[in-house]
Amino acid sequence: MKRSSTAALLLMGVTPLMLTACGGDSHPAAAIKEQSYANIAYCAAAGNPQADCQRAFDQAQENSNAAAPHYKTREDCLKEFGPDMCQPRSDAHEGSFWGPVMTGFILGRMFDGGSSRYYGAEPLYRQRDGQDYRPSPGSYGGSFGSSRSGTGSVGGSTDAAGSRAVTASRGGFGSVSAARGGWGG
Amino acid sequence: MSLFGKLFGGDDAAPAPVNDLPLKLRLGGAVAYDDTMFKANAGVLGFDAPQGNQMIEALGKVDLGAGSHLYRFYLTDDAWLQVNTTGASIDDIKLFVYAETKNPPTKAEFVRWTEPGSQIGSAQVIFEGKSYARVWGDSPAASWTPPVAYDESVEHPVGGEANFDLTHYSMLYQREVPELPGRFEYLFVTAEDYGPEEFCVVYSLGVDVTSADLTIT
Repeated sequence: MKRSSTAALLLMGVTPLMLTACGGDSHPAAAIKEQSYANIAYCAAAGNPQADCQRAFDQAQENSNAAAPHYKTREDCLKEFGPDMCQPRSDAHEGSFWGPVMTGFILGRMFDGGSSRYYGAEPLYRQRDGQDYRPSPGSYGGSFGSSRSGTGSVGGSTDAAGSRAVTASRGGFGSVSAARGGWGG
Repeated sequence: MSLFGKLFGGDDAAPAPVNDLPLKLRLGGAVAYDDTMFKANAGVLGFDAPQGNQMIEALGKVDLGAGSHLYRFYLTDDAWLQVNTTGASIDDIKLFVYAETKNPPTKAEFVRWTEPGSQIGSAQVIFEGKSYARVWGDSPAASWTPPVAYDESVEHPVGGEANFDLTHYSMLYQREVPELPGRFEYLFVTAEDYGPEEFCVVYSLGVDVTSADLTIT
């Protein structure tokens, strides 16, 4: 929470002036570009900022349990993904299951005017037939694939992001689990 | 006997209102912090502890999932007591004092505080001449790790200011105090997002607290 209510009043007094400068409907349409990479090195070699590649990899890996297709048995998983490509996984909702090994990730970048920035990431899993399996958009928190694509305008949005200054996918930030028991010392 | 009791034959020992807050802290109550440690080591920490009885003027709640919660008790003198619980058990108590607030002039500049390369998430932060090391994040070596995003809902006593909520993008830093081996001073940096036109970046300094350091009334 803010320092004090005095600070809050001051802030409120100042911000409406800035609204005219940076708010409004003149926000240009933004596009989200998605590219898949096998690893961070390929991602960086393709011209993406190293930090974005690392972040995308980390985020994809963090989501790789929940996003993986769930199989009851190892055999079922091997049938789709091939030998040595399956591992025991678990997630908060369904407990233990068998799922494919993450073989790459998708980096989403938002191009807005002349600049671009990190937008989100998703894990990829190589199928037996060589095709990438991409989890359906929206299958886990932080997916950027569906509803968030399109314009970068924040006005009129009904989701939580529309009522905030930061509109990036929550999935792009650090794991909140760090704040559960990780208060240092 | 209450009217309810008279009508229905109950007794006066009606259950107290359910208070699920840790340490019997409550909104509108008071807490005093025993600052002997500060007094005995003057100048060693980067801030002064709030003095005497402090009113709990607002209460912030954060649901961290997996049964874990943060309770932030905002005190009279620009300080807050944070209690981290899992289920019924208390994991951690810290006292923080606000040290600095930055008001980014535009939304874009505020958003940059949450993005790669921001100070929030850098491996170390020099604050008021002292170096603090990042606590959260998987790799200590990474030059930047994303801040942790979470929502906080803030309540005020009935009849007080309106309740509100905000989204934090936070990173915790610490330094071992050389003069007090084994004791850490914390720097908590958070980008506070109240809405598309209202945001700020807040630096707070803190220390570990035990329930024995607190007098709660």
